Amino acid sequence: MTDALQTLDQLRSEVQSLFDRAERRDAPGLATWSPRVDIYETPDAIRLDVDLPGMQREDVHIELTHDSLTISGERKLEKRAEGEETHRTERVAGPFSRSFSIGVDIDPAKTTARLVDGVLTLTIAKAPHATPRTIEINAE
Amino acid sequence: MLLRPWEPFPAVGDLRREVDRLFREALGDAARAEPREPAGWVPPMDFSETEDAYVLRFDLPGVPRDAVELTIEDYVLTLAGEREAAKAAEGERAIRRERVTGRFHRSLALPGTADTSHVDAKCHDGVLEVTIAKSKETKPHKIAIAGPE
Repeated sequence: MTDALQTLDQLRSEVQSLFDRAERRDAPGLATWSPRVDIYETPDAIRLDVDLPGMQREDVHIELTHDSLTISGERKLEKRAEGEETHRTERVAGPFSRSFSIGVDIDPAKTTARLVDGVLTLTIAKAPHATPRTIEINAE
Repeated sequence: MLLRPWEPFPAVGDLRREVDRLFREALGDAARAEPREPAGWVPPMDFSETEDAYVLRFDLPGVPRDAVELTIEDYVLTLAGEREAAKAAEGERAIRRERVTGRFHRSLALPGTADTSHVDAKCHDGVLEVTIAKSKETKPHKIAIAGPE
């Protein structure tokens, strides 16, 4: 059941991204694709996994404010050799930008980012006062 | 089971199963064969060609090299493997899941001019690049046209 829902959700975002792309195709300089993102939450942090195949660290920009996160950059495809003829292009390329609003207070200084095998892993620490605390109820 | 498909007319389901059985019997082995596991997703591919090679590039972010199987048989190149879903750590809650996971599969026919004994594959930054040489005989070469001066 969960699988079916996940597939349905994937289909939905696929259709959405097709529409997004069609809308933006004629606007140069604007994002032309959206990298896929998984978001996880732990009691003291938020983690994002972003698919950025073929991208280097220097091509990705991460901007973090107290309540928002923007990941942007540009994917450039491999340099073509002289006389190389392209028959098929399915892989997305060009500028992208994704923003998220963050519902909890965060600690920007404790954010780490790694880009390994085309996957960006971003771990954002929650501010100490935003992490859940257990409160003891005192007996009288 | 908490959720089960709603079947307002159980007799219809019985009839359907009966028809399935008749077909299975009539068609024999062909219909009885286990349906193949469908591929969960298809990695996007670019295909280009240089003077002496064909170049295929697949986006496989986060897929380790040993999870990818690349085979060539009778001029059919097949890329298959699995991208494992990230395991949620203890106390971790998934808020959004857009990245595709599961099995992937892609087959394509290579041109007859491909030299399938000279194939080079490398994986870097989540991109698999496969270079297949063109056989020597098929490289274009100029032919001088002889004729009266």
